[in-house]
Amino acid sequence: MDLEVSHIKKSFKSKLVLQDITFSARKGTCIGILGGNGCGKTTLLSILAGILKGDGGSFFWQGKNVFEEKGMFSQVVGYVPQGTPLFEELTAKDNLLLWYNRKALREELDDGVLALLHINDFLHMPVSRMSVGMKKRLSIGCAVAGKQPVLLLDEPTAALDLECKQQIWDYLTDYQHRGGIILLVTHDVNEIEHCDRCYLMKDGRLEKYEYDGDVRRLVRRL
Amino acid sequence: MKWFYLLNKRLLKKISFLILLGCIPLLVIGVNLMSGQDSGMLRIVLAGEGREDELAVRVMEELKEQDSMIQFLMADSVREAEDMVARGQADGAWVFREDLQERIEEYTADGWKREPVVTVVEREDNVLLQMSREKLLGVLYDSFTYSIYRHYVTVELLPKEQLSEEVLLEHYLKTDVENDLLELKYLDGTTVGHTSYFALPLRGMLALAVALCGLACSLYYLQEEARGTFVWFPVKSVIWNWAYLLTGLVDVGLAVLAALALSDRFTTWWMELLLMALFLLMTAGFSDVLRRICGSVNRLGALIPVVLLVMLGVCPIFTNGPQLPAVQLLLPPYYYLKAVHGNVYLIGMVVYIILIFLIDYLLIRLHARHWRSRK
Amino acid sequence: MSMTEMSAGLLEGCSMERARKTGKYLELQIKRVLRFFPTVLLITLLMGVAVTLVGGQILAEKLSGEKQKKLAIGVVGDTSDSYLGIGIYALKQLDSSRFAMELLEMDEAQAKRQLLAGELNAYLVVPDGFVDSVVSGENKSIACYTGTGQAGLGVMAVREFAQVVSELVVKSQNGIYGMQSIGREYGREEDVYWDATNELNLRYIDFVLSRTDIYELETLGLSKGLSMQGYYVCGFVVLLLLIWGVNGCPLFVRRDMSMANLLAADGLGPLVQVLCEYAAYLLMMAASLLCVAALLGGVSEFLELSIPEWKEINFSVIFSFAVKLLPVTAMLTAMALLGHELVTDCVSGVLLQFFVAIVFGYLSGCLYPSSFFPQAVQRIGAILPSGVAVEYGARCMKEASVWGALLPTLIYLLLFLAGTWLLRRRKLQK
Repeated sequence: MDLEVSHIKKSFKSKLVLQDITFSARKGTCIGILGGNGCGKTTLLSILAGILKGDGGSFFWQGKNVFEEKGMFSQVVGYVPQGTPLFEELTAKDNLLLWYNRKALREELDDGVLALLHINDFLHMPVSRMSVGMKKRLSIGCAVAGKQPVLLLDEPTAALDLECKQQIWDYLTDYQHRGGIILLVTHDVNEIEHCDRCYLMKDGRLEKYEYDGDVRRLVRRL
Repeated sequence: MKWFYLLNKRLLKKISFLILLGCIPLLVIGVNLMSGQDSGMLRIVLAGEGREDELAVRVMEELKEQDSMIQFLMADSVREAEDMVARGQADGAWVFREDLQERIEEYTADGWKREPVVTVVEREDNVLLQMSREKLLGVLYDSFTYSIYRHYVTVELLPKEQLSEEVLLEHYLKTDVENDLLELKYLDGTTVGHTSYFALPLRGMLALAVALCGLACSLYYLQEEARGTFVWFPVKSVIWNWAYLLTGLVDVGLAVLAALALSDRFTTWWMELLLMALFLLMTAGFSDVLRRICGSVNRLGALIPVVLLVMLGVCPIFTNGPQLPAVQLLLPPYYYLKAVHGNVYLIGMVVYIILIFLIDYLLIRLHARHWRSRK
Repeated sequence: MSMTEMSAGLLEGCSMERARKTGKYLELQIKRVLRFFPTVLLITLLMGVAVTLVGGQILAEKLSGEKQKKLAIGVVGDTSDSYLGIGIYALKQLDSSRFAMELLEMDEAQAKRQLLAGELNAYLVVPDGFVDSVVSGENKSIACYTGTGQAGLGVMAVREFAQVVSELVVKSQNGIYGMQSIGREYGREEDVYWDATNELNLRYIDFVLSRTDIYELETLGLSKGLSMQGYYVCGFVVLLLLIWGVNGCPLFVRRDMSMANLLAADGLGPLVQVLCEYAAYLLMMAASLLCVAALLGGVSEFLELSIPEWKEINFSVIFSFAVKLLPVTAMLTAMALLGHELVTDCVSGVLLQFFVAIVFGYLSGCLYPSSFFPQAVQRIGAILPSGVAVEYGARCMKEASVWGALLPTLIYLLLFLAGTWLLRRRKLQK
C-alpha cells in the first residue's frame, strides 16, 4: 500500500475524539469519510495535513513516516480546508504566486491544473469579490501547487452550485486518474458515489461502509 | 522576496494600514507648521507703566524678538495685561514700572534700596513660571551690571574724576565677549541643535507609530489566523512570524526615516538606518510575543491602548519618565529613543532581540504540544 | 366595531408589539454588554493606571515647591577653586533656583551613568582652570551634557538656563574688565584695582543671589481659571474616555448585517437598533467609569494628590465628579459608536478608535496644554468633541455653571447618533 494510516488517536481536554483510526490506500484511490457534525472528521484531516499533532499513531507514505520526517507533509499532502485560506485583498493571481513560480503558473494556467479548474475566468479578480465557488477552486489550485500525491479535502463542494461542483469533480477525477490519492470528508451523498471506498466516522473510529444509494439506511448508521 | 512583496501588496490594500502610514507625514507636516507659528510653552504679556520709557520699550522689543520657549505678547496698558492673566489668556504678565532706568540706578546705588522695578503678575506659581523669571533677569541684567559698574567707578574707584557716559560705556563694552559659556552637547559629543519644543517629542511619537504598526500587524495576523489563511504557512517558525510582521514594519520604518530626514531631528544616515533596523526587529519580537500571549483579536485589541499609554508614560517622549526600569526595559521605543545619542543602548537593543527571539521560540514550543507546522 | 375603531385597535396593538420588541432588543443588548463587563472593567482599570502614570509624570515636571520634580544637574570637574566653590554653594543653599534645580557634585563616570539612567537631566563638566579663564576673559566653555534630548522640559529648561547663565557671566565680565580698564587708564595701582575687582565681584554675586528683589510678585489666584493640576485631571479623564472606545469594538463592530436585516424586517428599524445599542453601550461605559471612580475614591487617602479646586480629595469628591461628567461620557460613547459603525472589522475599529483618541486628545490639550499651541490650533482644539469635553470637565471642577458647555455636548451627542443611524440605514438598504 502506498498510504498507510494506523492507530491515530487524539483527545481534547480528556475528551477522546479519535480512538483508533486505521486505513490504507493505493495510488489512484478516492476515499470518502462521512460522519455527523463534531465527530472528528476535520480533526483527522488536520492531523494528516500536519496542522494538529495526534496523541499517537503513524502515517506512512511509501514506507516513510510522514510524522517523523521533516518537511514531508508539504511534499506529500495537499490540504484544502473548509474555509478559504486566501488573502482577501489580493487577486487570484497574487494568491497563486505565493505557491507557484511564474513559469509554473503560466504552464498550469495554459494546460494544467489551473486550466481544469477554470481559474483563468477570474485570474485578476480580488478574492473579496469572488463567489464561494471561485474561492473554493482557487483554494484547490493553491493546495496542489506542490503536486503532492495525496489530497485531503474537507467538504470541497459544500454550498456550491452544480456547475462549480462539476468543475471541481472534473479536476478531482483527473487527479485520481493520474495516480493521486484523494481523502474526502463530505456530507453530500452524491460525492460518495465518486469514491472508491467509503468510511463512517463513529465513536472515534472508522467503519467501512458500502453505500448503496439508501440515504435513510446511511442516516440510521450515523 | 516574492512572499515579502505579495504580503506587502496585500497590506497596502488595507485602508486602515494606509491611514496609519499616511499619518506619519501628516504628523511631521503638522509639527513643522506649528513650529513655524507664533506660540510658546508659556505666554507672558508685557506692559509698561510709562509708555514712553525708552529702556522698557527696548527691553520689551528685545524679548519679543528672542527665540525662546516663551511667547511674549504686548498689552496696551497695565490693566489689559492683568485682565489677560486673570482670564487665562496669558500665564503671566511683566509690568515694567515707570522710569525704569532711574529705578535701576536707585536699586544699585548706595544702600541698595531694592525697590522692585518690575511687577510680575501670575495666577499660580509653577516651575515654568519660575524659570521664566530667570529670563526676566537675563534681559535686565545688562542694565543692572552697567549701573553697578557705573556707580562703583564713579563713587568708589574714581570719585574725583569727571567721567562722561561715553567714556564709561566705551570701557564697559571694551571686552564684550561673544561666546556662550555653556555648550550643550549630547553624550556622544554632538552639539544640541536648536529645536522647537513642538518638534522635541516628534521622534518619540514616530516611535509610537512604529510600535502601533507592529501591534496592528499582530492583529491582522490573528484575524487571518482565525480565518484559516495560514493553513499552508510555516507558522511554527519564529523567523516566518517575524517576517510577516516585518512586511508592515518595514513600510512604516521607511516612512519614519523619510519623516525624520525632513525634520531637524535626523542624525546621520548610517546611524538612523542601524537604529531603525534594530528597532523594527525588537518591535516585531515584542508584537509577536504579545500576540501569542493574548491569542485573540479582542484581547490584543483591548490591550493595545494600555500598552501604548504605558509607552507614552515611561518612554522619553513627552516627559523624561519615572525610574521604572522593570517596565522601561521591556519596551522597544525606550531603547530606540535612548540610543539616538547614547551608543551603549545599541548593545541593549541587540541583547533584547536575542532574548525576545528565545522567548518567542519557547512560547512556540509550549504551543506545539497541540499544534504542528507543515514545514 | 367600526373600521376606524378596528384600525385604531390594530395600530395600538402594533405599537405595543413594537414596544415589546424594542424592550426585548434592549434587554438583549444589555445582557450582551453585561457578559463583557468584567473584562471591560479590568481593561478600564489598566487604562486608568496607564493614564495616571502619564499624567503623574507630566504633572510632576510642572508643579512648584516641594512637590515638583527638580532639575537634577551634575557638576563634574575641578570645583576646588574658592570662587567656584562659593558659587556652587550659593546656588545650592541660598539661591532661589534651588527650588527648581538641584546641583550634585560627582565624578564623570557616575554622572554619565546617572544621565543614562535618567536620574540626571544634565551634567556640567567644568574644565581645569575655568575660573582663571573667566578672570582673564578667555571664557573656556563648560560642556553641558544632556540626555538623549528626546523629551520633557529638561532640554528646554537647560537651554534657557544656559543662555541666562552665559548672560550673567559675560555682562559681569564687562563690568569688571571695564572697571579694570578705566582704573588702569586713570593710573590706579594694581593692588587697588584687584581689591576693586573683588569688591565689584561680590556686588554682582550679591545682586544675583538677591535677584528676586527686582520684581514684585502678585498672585491673582484661580478665580476665573483652572489650576494646572485641575486642568490635567480634566484632560486625562477625557483622554481615558476617548481611548475607552476601543473596548466596544468586539461588541459593536460587525461585518455581517444579517441580524440587523432580520430585525428591520421584523419592525425594528435602524433608529431603534442604534438607540438600543447606544443605551446598552452607555450603561457599560458609565458603569465602568463610576466603578473606577469609586475605586479611586477608596484609595484617595493614599494618593499624593493635591488639586487646588478640591479642598480635600476623598471618595465623595471623586465620585461626584465622575457623576457630573456623565453628559460628556454620553457624548463620547456616541462618538465611539459612530466609529464602530464606520468600520467592518475589529482591527480597523481598534486602530480608528485609538487614532481619534490620540489626535483629538493631543489637539484639545490632553497631552500638551492647549496654550502651547498656535492660536489656530487652539481654536480647532476647542471646538472638537474632546475640547468640548475638557471645557465641560473644567466647569464641573470649578463648580461653575455647565450650561454653556452642556449645549455643544448635547449637539455633538445628537450629531453622532444621527450619523450612526444614517450609516446603519444605508447598510440595511444595500
